Formats: sequence, C-alpha cells, structure tokens
Amino acid sequence: MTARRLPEGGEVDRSRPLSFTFDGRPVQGFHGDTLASALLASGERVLGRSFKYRRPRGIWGAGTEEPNVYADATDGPRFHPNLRVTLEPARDGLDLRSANSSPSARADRLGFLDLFARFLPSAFYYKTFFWPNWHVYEPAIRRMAGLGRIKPSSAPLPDGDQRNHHCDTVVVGAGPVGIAAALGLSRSGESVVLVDDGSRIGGSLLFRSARIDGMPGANWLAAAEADLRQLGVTVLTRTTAFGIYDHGLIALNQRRDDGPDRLWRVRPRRIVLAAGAVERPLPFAANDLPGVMSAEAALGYLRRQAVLPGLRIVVATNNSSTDEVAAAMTAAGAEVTVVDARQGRRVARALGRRMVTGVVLEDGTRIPCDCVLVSGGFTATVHLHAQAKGRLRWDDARLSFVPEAPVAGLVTVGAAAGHFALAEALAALPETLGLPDVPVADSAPYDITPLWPRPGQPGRVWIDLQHDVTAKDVELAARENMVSVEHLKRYTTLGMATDQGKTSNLAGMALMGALTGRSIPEVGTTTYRPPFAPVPYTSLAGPRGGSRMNPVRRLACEARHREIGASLGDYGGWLRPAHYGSDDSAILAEAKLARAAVGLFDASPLGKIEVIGPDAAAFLDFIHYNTVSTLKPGQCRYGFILAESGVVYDDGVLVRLDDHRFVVSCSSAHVAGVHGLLEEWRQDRFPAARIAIHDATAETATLTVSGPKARATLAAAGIDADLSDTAFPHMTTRWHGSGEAALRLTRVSFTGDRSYEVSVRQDLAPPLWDRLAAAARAEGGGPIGIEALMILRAEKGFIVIGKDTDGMTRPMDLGVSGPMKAKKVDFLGRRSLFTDEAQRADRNQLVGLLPADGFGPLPVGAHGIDLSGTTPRSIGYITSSHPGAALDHPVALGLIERGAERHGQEITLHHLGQRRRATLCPPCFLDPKGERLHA
Amino acid sequence: MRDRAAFWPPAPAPGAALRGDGLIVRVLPAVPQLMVSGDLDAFCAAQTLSAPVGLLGQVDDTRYALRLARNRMLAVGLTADHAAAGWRDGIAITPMTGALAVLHIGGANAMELFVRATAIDPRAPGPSAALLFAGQIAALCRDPQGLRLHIDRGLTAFVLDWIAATGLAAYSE
Amino acid sequence: MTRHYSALSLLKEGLAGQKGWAKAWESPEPKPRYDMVIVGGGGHGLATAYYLAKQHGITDVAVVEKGWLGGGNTGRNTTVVRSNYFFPESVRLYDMALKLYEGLSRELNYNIMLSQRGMISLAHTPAEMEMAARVVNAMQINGTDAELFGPEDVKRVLPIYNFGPKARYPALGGVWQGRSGTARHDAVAWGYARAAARLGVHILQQCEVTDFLIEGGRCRGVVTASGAIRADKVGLAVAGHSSQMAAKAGFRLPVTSYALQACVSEPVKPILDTVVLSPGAGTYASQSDKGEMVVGGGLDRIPSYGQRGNLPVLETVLSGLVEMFPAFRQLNLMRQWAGIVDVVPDSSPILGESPLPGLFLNCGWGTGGFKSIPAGGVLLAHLMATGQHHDISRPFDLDRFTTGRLIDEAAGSGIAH
Repeated sequence: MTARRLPEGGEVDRSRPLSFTFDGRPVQGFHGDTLASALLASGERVLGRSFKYRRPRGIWGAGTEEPNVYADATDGPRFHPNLRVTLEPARDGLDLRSANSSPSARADRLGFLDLFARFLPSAFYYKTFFWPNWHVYEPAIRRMAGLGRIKPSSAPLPDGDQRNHHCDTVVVGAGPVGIAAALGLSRSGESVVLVDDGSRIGGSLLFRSARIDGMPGANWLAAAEADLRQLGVTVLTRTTAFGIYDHGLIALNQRRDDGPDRLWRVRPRRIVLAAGAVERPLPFAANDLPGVMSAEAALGYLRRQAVLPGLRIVVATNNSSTDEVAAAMTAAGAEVTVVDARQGRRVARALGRRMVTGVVLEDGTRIPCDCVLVSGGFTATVHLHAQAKGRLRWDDARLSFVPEAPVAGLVTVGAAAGHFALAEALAALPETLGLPDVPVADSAPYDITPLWPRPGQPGRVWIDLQHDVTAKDVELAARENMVSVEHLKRYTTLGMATDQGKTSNLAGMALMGALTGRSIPEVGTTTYRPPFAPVPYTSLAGPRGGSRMNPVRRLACEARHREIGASLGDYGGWLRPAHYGSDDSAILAEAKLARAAVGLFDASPLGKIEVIGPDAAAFLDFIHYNTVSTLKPGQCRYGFILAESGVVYDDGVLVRLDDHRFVVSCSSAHVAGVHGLLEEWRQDRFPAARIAIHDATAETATLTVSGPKARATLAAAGIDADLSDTAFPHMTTRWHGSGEAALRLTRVSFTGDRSYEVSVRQDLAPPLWDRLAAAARAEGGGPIGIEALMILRAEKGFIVIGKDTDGMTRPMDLGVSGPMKAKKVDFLGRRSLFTDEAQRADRNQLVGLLPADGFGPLPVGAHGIDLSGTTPRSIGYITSSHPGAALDHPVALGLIERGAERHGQEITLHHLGQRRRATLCPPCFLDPKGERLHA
Repeated sequence: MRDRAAFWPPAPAPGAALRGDGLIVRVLPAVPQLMVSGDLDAFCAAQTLSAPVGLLGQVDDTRYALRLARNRMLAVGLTADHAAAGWRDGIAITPMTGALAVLHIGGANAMELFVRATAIDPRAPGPSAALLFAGQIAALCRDPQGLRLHIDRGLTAFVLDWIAATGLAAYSE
Repeated sequence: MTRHYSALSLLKEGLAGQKGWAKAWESPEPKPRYDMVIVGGGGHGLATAYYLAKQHGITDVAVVEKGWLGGGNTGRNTTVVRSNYFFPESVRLYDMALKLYEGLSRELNYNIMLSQRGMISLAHTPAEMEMAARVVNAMQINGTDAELFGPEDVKRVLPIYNFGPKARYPALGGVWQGRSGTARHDAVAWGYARAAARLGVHILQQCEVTDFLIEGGRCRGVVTASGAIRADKVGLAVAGHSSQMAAKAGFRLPVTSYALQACVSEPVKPILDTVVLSPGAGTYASQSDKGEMVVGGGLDRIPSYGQRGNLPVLETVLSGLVEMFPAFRQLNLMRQWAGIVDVVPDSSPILGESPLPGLFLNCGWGTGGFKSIPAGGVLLAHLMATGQHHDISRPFDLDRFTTGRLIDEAAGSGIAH
C-alpha cells in the first residue's frame, strides 16, 4: 500500500470529492481523476486478473494502451462491460467490478491456474482435447474466456448519435505539435477540426515540463487554447479518430458527458496525424507484477492527479525520456534509483508475489522497491497512416517504425513521425505543412539504446500483458516455424487483445527477428486495421433501429385501412392490409365475399414503370418474352421478362397508352429490380434520345374492384364511364375525367372475376376509396386484403413470381413456350432457352395439386419425393396452398418434375418428417374458360 | 405477431409540422411536378423555366427545375394531364405530383439537419440534385426560406420519424 | 522431437520447457519439379495437398503461396461451418465437408475446435417461414439434419433475441441445423499444412506465382519469382484472385471479386451459444471461444481486391445486430477486416479442369469457402489424381455455364450471395 495522493498539486479539484466502489470496496477520488488515478491513489495494487493465467495485475498506463485493468460498470440503471479505467473520468456512484475475476481481482478463485502455466503455453489448445471431442471441454474454456460480462437485464443503452462533417483539415492529436499545426493551418485560412482522446487538450504539455516560445509549456498551452477558440477551430476532446476509409474518410468517436457517444464521419481535404507515441515496457522476468508501470504514465499521474506511485521507486530505462520522470518522483519525496541500459545496467527480474517488492539487476545487484517505472522507448502511433495504405520504414536511431512518406491526403507530424524531441518536431512543421511560422521549443534530444527481449532470456518475460504471452511463447512459435509476423500473432495471440498490441507488438517482432536471424523491419508489421481503439456498437449502429430500419412505404389510404381495423403487414417493402379485423378467419370470408359480390382491394404498390419514346415498342419487344409491339393504344397484354439466364425474372401486364407510351407493371417487390434491368439494357443497346424510362409507381394509387358486382360498384361510386363489354373489353385501359382527379380505368383481372383497376393521383386517393368502399358495401361486398387476394388468384392458377417460381423456372415450365418458338426478334434471355438444361424433358413444371389423403390443405414447402431409387429424391415442391373460396376444397400450386404431363397422377410428399399424398392436376381450378371475367 | 399496425407509427396528419430550435419541417400541400427526360434546354426554353439546378441549388419557390441526370430533370410548378403526358416533341414527360412529396425545412438550423442526413459536402454539392437523405433517394434544393426536399410520398412518414429521432425537432400541431 | 500432439505430449513438454516440439512444417527450398503443384496456400490448397498424399499416395507435391499460408480468406472468415443448402448437389457438397470436419481434429492430430452448436437462419414473415419449410424439407430429403423452428424454439436457443413489440424483425422461426457451428479457421489451415508436410508435401511460402508454364497447349508448371517449377498437373485454389490467375492462363472465369467484411467485438463472457443469421437484418453472428462476437453481413458491392470494406456496410451490419440483440449495445467493436470473395453468378463453386488442359480449378466459393475446405480438398485432389470428377464435384464443373445447368443457391444461403 504505498501509492498515495499528495496533499497538493495536479488538476484535481479537492473541493469536489467523489466516491465509487471497486469490487465492493469504496474508493475516494476527486473531480478531475480518472478511475485509474483514483484507484492508484487508493493504494490498491491488484486491480485485475490476466486473461489466461489469472495473474494479479495492476495499472500499467494512462491511456488507450492500457492492457491490464478493465472493469464492468453499473451506473444507475445502465451497465457497461469492459470499461477502460484509464480513460474514464471518475464519477460518483459508479459500481465497478474487475472484469475477468471472481469474486474480485484481489481474491480470484481461478488464480491457481498460474501454477499450471507451464502446461498451458500459447496454442496449447490446438494440441489436445481430441478425446472424446472438443464439445466436452468447450463450455469450461468459454466460461474462462471473455473479459467483462454483458447484462441483458439492464436498461438498453441509447442510440449513438451520428453526423457528417466536411472541413479542410483534421488534426489528430492535440499535443503541442498537433496544436501548433492546427493554429498554423487555421491562421492560413483553413477550417480545422482538432481531435484528442484526452479530456483536455495538451497532450504531453499536461505533465511534462516544456519551454515553447520562451515560456513554460503550461502558459503556452493556455494561450494556445484561447487562440484556438478565437480562430473558431472545432476542438473535440474525448474523441478518438479510429479509422481511415476509402477516399479520405476519417471516422471519429466522441465521448460525451451529456449523451451517448457520437460518430463523426469527416471528409477533410487533408489529415494531419499528430497522434504521438506510446511507451513500451522493458523485458525482464516478472515484468507484469502490479507496481510495474509505464514511466510516462506515472509522470502523468503525478503531475495531473497528484498521485505518487510509490515511495521507493526504481526507474528502469533505455532512453532519455525518463530523466524528467526520475527527477519529478524525487522532488515529490520518493527515493529513486535509476537503472539505465545506456550505462549498461539492466533489470533481470522483478521480485514479489502479488506486487513488486524489488528488482534484481543483470549484474546481481538487488534493489528493494515498491514501484518500478519502466521505459523501453516509444512506438510512434502510425496506425492511421498505415490504414490509409501508407508505408512504414524502420528508424534504427529512434527504434520505431515511422511513416516512410506521406500518403495522398495524410501527413504525419510530431512523435508519430518519429520526432520524439519537441524542438525537432516543431521545427519540421514548416516544411511538412507549408506553414510560415511555428512555435519554437527548447528540448533535449532523444537518445535510446536497444533493449529487446533476448532468445533464451531466463524467467517469465511478459510481452503481451493482456493475452498473457511471454518471450518463451514467441520462442515456441519460432521453434514450430510460425515465423512470419502474422503467424506469430495468430499462434500466440500476441497483439490480438483489446489493446491490439500497442505495448507489445514491437517487442514480439524484435524477439522473433533475433530468433530467426532477421532484423525488425525484415520481420515486418501485421496489418493495421480499424478501429484504433474500441468503438461502441451504438456509435456505429446509430439511430437506425426499430421502425427506422429498412422502412416500409406507406399507402395513401393507410389511415382509411387503419380506421376499418386492417391487420397490416410488410409485403414487398410496403405496409399493406393483410386482412381486415383481428381474426385470421376474415381472410376466407373476404375471399368468398369477393367471389359472391365484389371485393375492393388497394393495389397501389403494383409497379408502373413508364417507357416512353419512338423506340419504346422495339425496346420492349427486346425486353419481353412475348411480342408487345403489336399492342394497339389502349390494349394490355400479360407476359414475362426473363433474365439473361432465361429464368423468369418478373411477370406482369404491359399496358400501351399510346404509340410512344407504355406502362410496364411489375411485382411490387420487384420495382427497383425491373427499373434497373430496363435502364441497363436501354443503355446497352438503345439510344437515349429515343427512349426514356420513368418509374411512375408512386404517382398513382390503384384501387381494384373485383367480382360479379364490380361494374355496379363503379357506377354506384359515381364513375360514369361506359362500362359495357363492347366499349370496355377485358385487357384494355381508358382515361376517365380530366384535370388532377382524372382516373385511368384498366380492365385486368388477377382474380378470374370481372375486375377493374381504378388509378388516381396518389394524394387524391382517400376520397375515391371512400366512394368505392361505400359502393362496394352497398352491392353486398367490401374491402379485401392481400391474403384474400392470394386465395382468389390461386383458384385460377395465377402465379406469384418468387413464390410459384424459383431461380430455375423458365417460361416453358409455366406452360408458355410460344414466343420461344415463334417470336421473330431477339429478346432478353432467348439464347439460354435453347441450352441443354432449358430443354430437358424432366424439368419442374407448374402444376396444381389436390390433397389425396383426406388430411386437409397441403403444406407449402412440402416436397414431392420419388422413392424408386436407393435414396429418396426431391421432385419439386408445393409453392402455394389455400382453402377454396368459390371452390369447396383446398387448392395448391407447385413446381413438380414433369408436372404438366402427369395430371391425374398421385405423388408422395415429404413435409418435416411426415408423408402426405397429393394428386396432380391443371393449375387452374376454377372457370378455365374465363367466363367469370364477363359475368 | 403478424399484425404490424402497432409497430409502424401511423403517418402524421396532413399539416403536421416538426419544430425544434431553429428548425421547422412541414409537408407542403401537393406540389405540381413533372419528370422530364430528353432535350432539357429545349423544354426549359419552351416553358420559360430557368435552367435546372443541382444539389442545394437556389430556386424561387414556385417554378423551378432540379437536375437529376445528364438528360433528366424534375420540373416543379408545372403539371400535365396524365392522359396527355408521354412523348411530346422529343421530350418524355411523366407527372410526379402524386409520387413525390415536398418537405420544407426552414430555420437557422436547417443545415444542421442536412449534415445528419447526408454525407455530401455542402460546400461542393454536385450537378445532380439527387442524394441519399436519411438513406433514401431524394432531391434537394434551397429556396429563400430554407430547403426543399422532394421524396417518395410513401416514405414521408419515415422521413419525419427520422428527423424526430435526431432530437433536432419534435411533433407539434 | 515431439511430433505427436496429445495431452501427454503437452505434459511432457511442459516439464521440458517446451523445448522439444517439432516444427509444424518445414520451409524447404523449391525443387525444379514436382508431380503436382497447387497454387494457393489457403485452406483449400493445403487440404488438396493433404488429400493427394493421404488418399492418392501422391506426395511429390508443392503448395505455392505468395504470402504466408492461411493468410487469405482462410484467415479472415467468420468461421461458420454448415451445410444448410437447398439443392441436393449443394447439400452433398457441403455435407461432405461438414462430415469431414467432424472427424478432422483426430485425423489431422490438430484440434480445430469444431463446435457444433447449431445455426438458426431466421424467418421474420410468413412468406419467409414458407421458404424455410421448403429448405428444411430439401435438407431432410437430401440426408442432412434440419428442423423447422417456431418462435418458442428460437426463444430457447436465442434467449436474448429481441422478442419485444418494437422489434423490427420478429422471429417467427427459421431453419435450424444442429450440426452447424464454428471451427477455428487458423487451426484448419495449420492442421492441414502440418499433416500434409508430414506426408512429404512441400509448402513454399513467400513464393508468388507470376505466370504459368504453357507448352503444347498444356499447363506444365508455374513460374515464380525464384524460378520455374515444372509439374504434371497444376491446381489453382486462390479464391479472390482467381480471375487474375485465369488471365495469366489465357481464359476467363465468370467470377467477380468483392470485399466481404467481418468484425469482432471485445471479448465477453458466454452469452450467445449458437450461430444466428437474419436475412432481414442483413447480419449474422456467433460468439468465439475467446468470447468475441464475430459478426458479418453482406458484400461491399463495388468489385475490389482491396481486402477492406467501408463504413456504410459496417454500420448497416452492426445496426442489424443490435436490433436483433439489444443487449449487444453494451459491446465495443475491437477490430474489422475484409477478405476478397470470388462470386459466381449462381453462387456455387467451380470445380474441374480449366480450359487450359493440365490446370485444375477450385474457386468461386464466394462467401462459402471456409465451410467447404475439406470437400474442396478431397474433390480437387480427386480431379488431379484421377483426371476425373468425383460424383460430388461433377455438377460444379465450369461447363455448367454452357449447358445452363446452374445451381443457384442465392436463396439457399440467404445472405451475401
């Protein structure tokens, strides 16, 4: 218990104390603490347990690179697993539980696993668990894996916020160099967004002494903050730039105190990467003991939160950055011993069981201590440069990978470019950014000597703290020939934890290089992938849930349908009445009503794509299976559109309005697809000046009146057109009335009964619905929904594309082979109709089916089976099945092998392990002569 | 479980508006519109219509045209009888008054909504007035009072709901 | 040298400081000639080499890989294995793979961590339930396990699914295959590599094939950066790069390559015990044995070899996921990546001799490459060893694009085809 809060100093506001609990124990802190600094100040060392061996761990760092300490946090009704304590501000009332430990980090009951570590090296799980099989062992392994825990019962977290932004420059990192860059670029007229993941800008200026432009760093920072405000630079704190995507998109995740996280999608003209560098550990045995910390982080805790990490501190280093750390700790009252590799002194191992109690140097010297501050050098934070496909080069003097050259739109500055000394970093800005004027700093040059893990180093030297990977594991990988850097990573899992190897990748590469006679750059790096730091799912998911996800289109008459109790469903992307009333029994009742008198149906979503121009007829002859150019104005014809493979892509009625104007009506679910097909083929083969394609589906609402009383209904609704069969034959269309309320009446039937489609401008539909509904009721009928319509069309054997056809159905399979034989002009899909496959005699063909076993309607999806071979063979399946409306028996449609030639035969069906019997018959069950059309 | 009437919020009544801090969104009464393909210059000359504008182009609020593609535009403030539409002297015309609702987005914070709804750079908007707004195809221009959004009428309920979900505005009568 | 893997050998090596483990595979110098060369050191290529040696006694084989073995799609997929396909040809193919996966750990002496915890492909509307019934029946008739789930069944296997009234995609049921699940992708590649190497196969990594040796109208080997390697027969198993290699061999393939993204969350304790796919939400997910949520969705629809996708697809996939599982709002994205999937118009693979005699194709698996690795290996090995198709691979020959006998599984897999 030797870390402590100093009585004065730091940014913390001692007049605003707070407290939270950690593993059930209270922790005191102040406003301005992070959870980590408050935990440190409490003197508690053991704050986490490692992933694999459950070793006690303490805080290593101060930022996103922290590998050890994660906690599940309960904040009132909300729950957040896997909080990184180094980045979260301390808050009153939080209840934290150390992740991956039970019951607590201090007293983890699986801590004994470490005793068996020698039998559990990297990848041990690939070498065992064969008998009886993995399933026996998997549950236990799964329970031990995972860091935090999701709590389904807690209140759902709110949607993340999302916005798009454009500006001239995004500067990533608000340390002194990033700030200087932002100021300079803003002064030269650019719009700048400055981003930093800390709760304040300043970076190293917040805890390191600096002299810039002749003044102390803190003063320069205060002046700079004022300048940034005055220049109107957008400053985003607690914001991580986590990914670079194609065409210069940079994605940011902003933490906010007053709301959920916000995703920023920014497209600047340029990105300035000033993300700094991350300190590396040093390799010595037991270097994972609580109390072994990053020197840079410790300096931050001391200067910012006034936490002294120990009283007897060893500073183990290989570079010049720790000079200030040692001095600061001494000034704060600690007894400090520096072990500097540049003078040939190196730590061989740390002593202690649950926290560090001393170190032993390679020369045998023993130094008791309660804290070891380590610096193995700095790794430039080049991730975004690499994500942008920038190349890296190894800087042998600074011992870091740095960007080799800028990529288009992204330039790297400061420590991220390997300029670890402030003076040098600022001095490089004019040339890199074209700035006339930059601040000038005094700073000592950076000096480092290599100190990497060595092959054969004794003891357990930890490389990846979060995934419990030691130097011996790296040696094992080399021994087994897993020597490429990606194999090393995947085999040992080094760098695959939530910290993504920020403090471990380089040491692993260096050791692998030493083991295989390669230099660090020869070993190379693994691929840098977004996100740089973990991003909440809610930020990426945004406000897209519930009724805002894949929204359905609404009918103009929706309010009317709701008023009369419609049960609404999602059909082909539209919200449509399935039936009226809450009971499914309404479906058959509606169908019977339509057969007996009249049904009124909202058919508005049916596609209406206008094809206009002098070449429209020739074009549509190419697109359609049937010939359509022979239609006269006012006539309609039913036909197919094939895909290039000859498969029926869509069906529908083509309407010719005049010489140069057609309406392609297509399935409501297929409108975008058909529109795309028409455009693509027009662009491929026909001149733009002579054909235009306009999707007019939404322009009109279409209300269909079907049944023996259809004509009377139209008349009763005040539509006083001449509806005699001579004036208005079946499969024709005509205009009625003029002005905005003009109607187009089309006599076409999907039910087999006399049927009229009445189309009116969409926004004027509700009054028309009212008139037609009242008239239909007066004639003994009423509104019907889609489900009733499905029964009516099934009785007639009218197909629904995608339901009664599948990815192989060709027009001949539906009984329509005339155009294939006789059509004079070439058409889309023609060639494919003559392939061996298309001409096979044993194809699945559309057929009707009747139950032959007295067990009621046949199930949709049941397959016909041929039992004559050694194993059953599917011969097709049932695609539609409905009770009869005009008929007193159920009807079914299906695609059955040779179905067209087998009418009258009985087949066996397989459905979910049961057998049924059915008789094949023609698909039209009702009125095959079509007399009801004129009834 | 099959009745989704409760899941999808009913479309707001005509005339409903969304109001927020510096933001008012209203669905305008039916705006006459025509889809026009072909020789756009000739059409504009014949109708004394200004040249079609691109995204965020400035228009007056009664008669204007939105460029959608190289040879396609949406003419606004004009209409044609359905029966008389189609091919006319080298131009193809289809009425769109029913098809496209026009939402007016007014107030000082109109562009705040813009940057939520689309990733397009408002400083470099492009020659086509078409865009993805809240993930849906639409066309957008500026008038003296704000922005005009032309969108499939069947998606009006969704767009209003989406705008409300941003928190920038809420329903009011 | 400890070659054999077992609990006993772990114990022994644990006491010996892990010093005695043999190399998983050697890194030999390329010979100028082998009986057979396989281009592509991913799962399919390595499995082919293994089965050539194991089932056909052909051991003078080289697998030539331009990068590090298993580094392409095999190392980038979402690890799902299943055979819930529609057409009998497909079921035979993928079920062959699944059955081989079932015995693979023991056969290869490498724990591939096959976890058959089932897969549910959800149906959200009555129409989708009808399709689900059609698929379940097809699978049952074709001899693989399938069950049509109703809402209570879904609740049992997915207790945290969004069953509330505000769910965009209510679960009415779906297609359940109990033998589906996941396997550790790297282990499959490494297991096959090690086993093949033990049988004498040479695995040549960092050895890019830049051209084919074509003499007298036949493929006689390959040209690499370190020289030519002659062979009687050459197999091509390079997935997303198939079109580029085909161009070098002088023919075209009906393949378009797209990025297929995947991502993992930070690891959490077990909360999802099965593999789940929602065609409506456009997302599928499972939880790895390390605790990460492994999530995928549809293709990035612009053809690309870039091995990375863009933000809109990722956002769509994750919004679908949290809509299905509101509790997953508590998760953070840890890492995202992409592979290059070679997509064929009927979403079925291409197996058979290429238009260049002597060069044999195994490609076009699209998003289905990982689950099929053992079958792809057996079938390509059979082709190369005997010169004939195995019954199971015959329907997938390239000639189906001439005869028109496509096997269109676009409906069968539901997502991303």
